[in-house]
Amino acid sequence: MSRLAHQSDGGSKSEKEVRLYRIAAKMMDEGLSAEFVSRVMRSALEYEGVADMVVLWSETPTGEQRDEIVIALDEEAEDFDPKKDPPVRKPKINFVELDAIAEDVMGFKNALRDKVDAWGGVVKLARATGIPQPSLSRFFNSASMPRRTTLYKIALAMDLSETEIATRWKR
Amino acid sequence: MPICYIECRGEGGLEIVITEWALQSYLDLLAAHAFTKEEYRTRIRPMVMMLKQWPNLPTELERDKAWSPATIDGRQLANCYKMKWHNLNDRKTKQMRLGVVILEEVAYLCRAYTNKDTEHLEMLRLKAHAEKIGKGKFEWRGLL
Repeated sequence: MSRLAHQSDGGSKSEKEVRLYRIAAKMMDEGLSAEFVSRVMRSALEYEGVADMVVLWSETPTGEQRDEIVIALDEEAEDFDPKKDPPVRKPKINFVELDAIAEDVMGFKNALRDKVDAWGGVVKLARATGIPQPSLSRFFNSASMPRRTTLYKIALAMDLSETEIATRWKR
Repeated sequence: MPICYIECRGEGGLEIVITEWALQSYLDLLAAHAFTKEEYRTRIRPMVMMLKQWPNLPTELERDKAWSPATIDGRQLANCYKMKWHNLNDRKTKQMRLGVVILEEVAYLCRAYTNKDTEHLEMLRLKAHAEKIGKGKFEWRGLL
């Protein structure tokens, strides 16, 4: 059930939902993919914090700050899986191992980035996958483990095989 | 209503859960050399371990506002807090912050970040994480 209530706004739940839908249309007008917008909206209807981020996006001028919001929305909406049983328990990772993991992850992403560049680049990949370009740029520049769903979207868009996107560290 | 999905500790204070959000943000900050391993051992981890004494936190945490409720536009976010460290990695990192959600005798470590320009956005993310934790929609990566 939706629990919409933007922290700084009044208005009924319906009015807040309609405001979100208007922002969704604006997101589409500004070139964000239907897949991204739909995923973000599902998450925003479930979580007030995500709804607030959507409103913040609409109030922020185009530029670096807005790109940060797109990246954050992409990550928060990726978490949303209504079928997932709470909570998902994953194996621990010791702090002493983190350096090596970060290095492995960056090595994998750099190799994948080379393939993407040879294929046509990040802008083309953003269009083909529906993943916002700022999210893809952050993906390639950060040492966080790639999500399996992101890797599959990239592989399908570029016609890569499972082994070409194989990495020890994914989530 | 917030529900504790992880087995809660009886005696001995708060349990400290590392979430996937915390792990991934730590990987990012580590690769960006936001802090050194020595600082992790001597400053970061010991301060986080003080959470076990909740709600009677040591006075060290009050120094430099190292611990505070998380707020947006002056309004406190339910169950959300921030831990801060100043001048890490030879003062190259002016400030590192860690979002923490405390629910039902469990402290959940959320995102750590260093960019002050995105503070408002980080607070909204923490709010969303608190909601997700309350519904059990999060990924658990062990205990500190």
